[in-house]
Amino acid sequence: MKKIKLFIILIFISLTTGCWNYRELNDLAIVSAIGIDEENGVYNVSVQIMDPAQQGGNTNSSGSSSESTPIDVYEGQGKTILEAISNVLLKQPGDIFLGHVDVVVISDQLARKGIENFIDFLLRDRESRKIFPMVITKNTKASDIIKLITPLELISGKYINSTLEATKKNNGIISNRLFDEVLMCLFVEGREATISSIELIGSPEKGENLDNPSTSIPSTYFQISGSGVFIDDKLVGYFDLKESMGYTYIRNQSESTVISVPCDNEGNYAGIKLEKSSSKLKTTIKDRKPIGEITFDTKAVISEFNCKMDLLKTENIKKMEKITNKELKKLLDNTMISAQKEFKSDVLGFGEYLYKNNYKEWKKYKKNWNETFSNMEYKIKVSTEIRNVGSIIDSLKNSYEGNPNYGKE
Amino acid sequence: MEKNNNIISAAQIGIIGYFLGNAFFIGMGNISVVSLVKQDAWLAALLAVIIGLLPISILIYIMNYKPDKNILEKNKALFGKILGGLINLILFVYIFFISILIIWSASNYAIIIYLTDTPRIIVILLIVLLVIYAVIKGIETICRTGQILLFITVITIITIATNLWQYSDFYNVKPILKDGIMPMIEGSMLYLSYAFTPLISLLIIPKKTIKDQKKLNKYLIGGFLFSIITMVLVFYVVTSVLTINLVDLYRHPAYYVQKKISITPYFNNVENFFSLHWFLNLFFGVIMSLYFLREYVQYLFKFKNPKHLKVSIIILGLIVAVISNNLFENGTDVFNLIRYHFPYWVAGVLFGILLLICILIFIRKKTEDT
Amino acid sequence: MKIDQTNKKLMNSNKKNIEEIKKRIGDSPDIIIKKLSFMKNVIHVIFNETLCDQQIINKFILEYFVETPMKSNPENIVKYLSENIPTRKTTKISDFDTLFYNLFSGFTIILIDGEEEALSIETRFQLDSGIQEAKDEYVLKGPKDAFTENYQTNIGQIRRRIKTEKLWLKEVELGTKSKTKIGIMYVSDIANVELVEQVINKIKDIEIDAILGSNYVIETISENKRNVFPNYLSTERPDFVAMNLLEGRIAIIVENMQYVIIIPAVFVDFFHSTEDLYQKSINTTYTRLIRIAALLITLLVPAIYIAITTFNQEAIPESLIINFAAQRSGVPFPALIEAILMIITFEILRETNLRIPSTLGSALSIVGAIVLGEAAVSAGIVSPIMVIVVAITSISGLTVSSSDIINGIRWWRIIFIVLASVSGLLGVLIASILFILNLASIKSFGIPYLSPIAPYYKNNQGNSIFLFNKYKFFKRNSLTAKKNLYRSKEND
Repeated sequence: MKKIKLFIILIFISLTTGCWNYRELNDLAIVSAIGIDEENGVYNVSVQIMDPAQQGGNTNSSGSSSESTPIDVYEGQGKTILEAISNVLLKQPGDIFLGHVDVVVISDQLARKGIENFIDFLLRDRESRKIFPMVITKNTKASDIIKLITPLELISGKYINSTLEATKKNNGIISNRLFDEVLMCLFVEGREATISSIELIGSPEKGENLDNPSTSIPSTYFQISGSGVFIDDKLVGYFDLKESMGYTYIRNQSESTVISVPCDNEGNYAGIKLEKSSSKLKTTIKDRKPIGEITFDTKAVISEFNCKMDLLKTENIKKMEKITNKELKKLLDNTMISAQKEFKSDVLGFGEYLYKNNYKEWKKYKKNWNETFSNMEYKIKVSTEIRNVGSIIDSLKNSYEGNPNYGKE
Repeated sequence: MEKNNNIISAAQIGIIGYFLGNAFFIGMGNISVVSLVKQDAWLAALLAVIIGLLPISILIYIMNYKPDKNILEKNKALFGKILGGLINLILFVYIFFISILIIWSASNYAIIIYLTDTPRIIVILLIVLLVIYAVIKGIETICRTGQILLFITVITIITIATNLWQYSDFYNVKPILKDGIMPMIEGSMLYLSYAFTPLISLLIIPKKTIKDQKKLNKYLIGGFLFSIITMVLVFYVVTSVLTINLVDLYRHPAYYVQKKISITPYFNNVENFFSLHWFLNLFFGVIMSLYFLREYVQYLFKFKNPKHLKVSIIILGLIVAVISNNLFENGTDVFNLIRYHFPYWVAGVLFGILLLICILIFIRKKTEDT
Repeated sequence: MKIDQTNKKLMNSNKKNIEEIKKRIGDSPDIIIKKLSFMKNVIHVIFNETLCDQQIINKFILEYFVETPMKSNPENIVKYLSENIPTRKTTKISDFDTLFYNLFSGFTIILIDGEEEALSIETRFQLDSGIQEAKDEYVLKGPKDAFTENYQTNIGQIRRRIKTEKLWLKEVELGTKSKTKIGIMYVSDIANVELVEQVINKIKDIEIDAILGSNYVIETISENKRNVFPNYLSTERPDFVAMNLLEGRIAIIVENMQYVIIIPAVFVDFFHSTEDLYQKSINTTYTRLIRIAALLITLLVPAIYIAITTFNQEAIPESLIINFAAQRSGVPFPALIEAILMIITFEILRETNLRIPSTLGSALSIVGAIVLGEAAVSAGIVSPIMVIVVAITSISGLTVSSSDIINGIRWWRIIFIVLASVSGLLGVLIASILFILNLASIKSFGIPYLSPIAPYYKNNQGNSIFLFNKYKFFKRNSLTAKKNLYRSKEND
């Protein structure tokens, strides 16, 4: 008897489907990218929604034969991000679903004013995954990036995500790709934040057109351009590609990167692939002054060699190692000088080291750490170990007898 | 075909002790401890392993006295009828309050993470239906279910820990003990006040009904310590992966840290599945509290007809559900209650009562010897 | 056996006896009454021609009476005949109830005029299909014979495999009109004798007019009548019965019923099959794990599918969410209604498949597949992913080796789906805990249903989910076997 009663109650509950959280999949507007701008004091949020009828329905055909784009972009305005997003609901029927956001783009104007003002929403929302990439733009509006139609993967949000991931893995130019990494460096004491930056090349209007990727050279495309440097939560400048690479090395986040080093005095370069690097940061107090120390070890592989050196001799390998050390030291030095003199912001985390390992001393320097940092002395020690030289054991140039002009571009 | 032969084994009691030890830490106790000791939360919990032996020994001592009676009858024998009845009533009220708190925490966890728009009463009713069904079936069923659910819990925790190990960085847990050692001891005591309190409902099981009684001490201590060690692991992984600032910010950091798990590149949204095991701790907390309440009602009214007992369980469960829905207004209220008032007025008083019982037993035993 | 009408004793005069018999059977024409004379006594031979083997009657009884040379009249004609008639079994009967019972069991009654006792002689005709191949439980490498409807043959097939004298058989007769024989077999130095006593007493207390199948018996003596899960195994293979008898279980054989019941049975026993004995133990472990995985799939997959597509969409892997959304956009029903529609259709198909005569079977299954698969999807009634989900569910449900458990699981599948559509993943969790609570609260004749996992018996882990060689060859199940826990020679 009790079982029957329970059954009836259950069936009635389920049939009411007043189930307050019940939403069918096709009622959702699945957002793949968000762009945040500011205009006249209100936030302008552009939201890129995936159109399932274009994607799933045409799984057999390539999708480019359809007339309309696979994504739709809507813009909403409001004094808070929440208001702006609900403004979007006035324009399309789906329930905004942030569970699969692939990238969040913040315009540089807004970043200069401070990003802590509005990222609370992304943190508080239950569905957002908090491990999406976050980028800031350089000289572009965020909505232009969102409206871009990219080749190969028609949803630009996914395309940007994949590009960032590939760059991080193989190029080592960017770090702090994900939202929670950004949050960590915003909050931690003694270190300032950096966020990767992208820029749009070409005209924005042409980028919105479906024809954009259909030519062999797209007329509008985006490109990763380094990282933005922050003090507290305000943007103060940009690292360019090289400086950004140095930053990644110092923060011990490079996975596998490539650099070109000159191998002789005639302007020929060798390509060295750094496969496994580890970097250690230390701040010590000497004579009441903090001194920074960077130790960088790496295991490298010669991937491209355009000089006339005989790689079978050990002293040549040692010579290459020395040259690589010098180049790396130059790179890291460059980054440090940029951070110290140009931006006056401790993005590398020397203060953090002091905070975590020597709390008493940190309390003294806490107040104007960035000032102290910009005048801090530092030492850089680099050591390279060349493990392997690739499939061929000697350089092509060296074994080629004859034409001295071979290899010159 | 024996009908009323409750066979509970000591290992099952240890397992229930394990589930109860973590019942207060989902959404209530963890943010309380972290707000006191920040990134040393894992050290505070580690110290609690040692300090926690004291309350557990008191619990075992009380359980060993007159092993065929449960706590209510023991109180009556020790203190006499009136004072014993008063103490039993105090225990009843406190455990009632504990069950209200745990149901609130469970519904809060469900609402914040899984079902955002559902009104709280529906979630509470779902949970209370399950709890009533479990209590009606009896302690034997509850213990056996605990054994099966333990496998699931342990496997889930091990999977999460091994997947998150690559993101864990000891650097994030530093600075260690930056304010000295006193805050850490305070943190330990605070931790214990949340970990030990639900275990008081275990006193309602008379020791005679447990099959292999000699091993009970071993298993109970083991279960409690294992629950503390699990919490140490959780605190450590959460702090080292997310850094203390983010942990401070989230109400349920153990959920958010799982967003970083990706089993293969395609199954990277598993946090909803893996977080379900925290519910088991909460369910067992409520089930054991309601079982205590049922035994109290049985002791007070001595029902002969089993149907009356079932009706009384249902009524008790519904009262708990309704009060839990209406008593607290929002999360901040509960946070203040848990952080500032609960350790003294609830855990402290309960511990004091247990200490009193323990001392009386000691005196009684001495007078019986001489 | 309770007697509900006064049992008249046989009378001296045959004429009166025959009158009584004819009155009671309503003068039915298949009872043949033949009059003979033997050694100056008048003898009536009464038998039922539909149940008796005519050859035996002609050859052994009638021929004996006709061809035996006349000797002196023995004193006790009944005793003389019972010792000298060349048949296997003769019993003396003295009241009408026993007479009718024997008459309708296929025995021949010999009434001797002037005596108050009659003789009954076994002359049964084999009215069954003979020993055939097992149709419902198929085993790749083992013997393929199965039980039949004949009570004696069944017991014979079991005795053939366990040739010890310790294999005891106790009989009870039930059913006032059907008078069915119930046999209870157990190995006396392994099984739990108290349990046997309790079972026999409970069976003797059953009051019913007819027992047509073994389920009647088992449902009455079972402890958990209202629960959907059975606490007995029913099988049609004698080697399975022999395997379980040697573990200390009890077999109940019902006359005219081809399925033998084995008690007690716990949850993990439904994942064992006879195949386990004939393969290597490590391969058997793999098969058992697949069966348990099939059980989990059949319960959880539809519920989780509904939960994650309607409540927790962030749990769907990213590459699938667009495909799912595109598929659902053309479908009118909410996911819950769709799931229930598909499941009901599958169940109807399955029932049809069982009942339809084989000539129509293939055409109907093609129609079913086409209707469900292609047409419903193209017409936009259901989405393709739902068809796949329900197909996986139903096929996994059939993997479990015993049909008693499948019928129990059908209920629980629906409870899972309903709770999932009410509250998403939390509902799935609550349904799972309810399921485990329900299983944990049942006892099967004193043994908790979820042993040996909970409560945890270390000694029995070798034959529950995993199968270790030691348990296959050397040890017995300590829950059901109370003595002789090791299979070595000295103990047996």
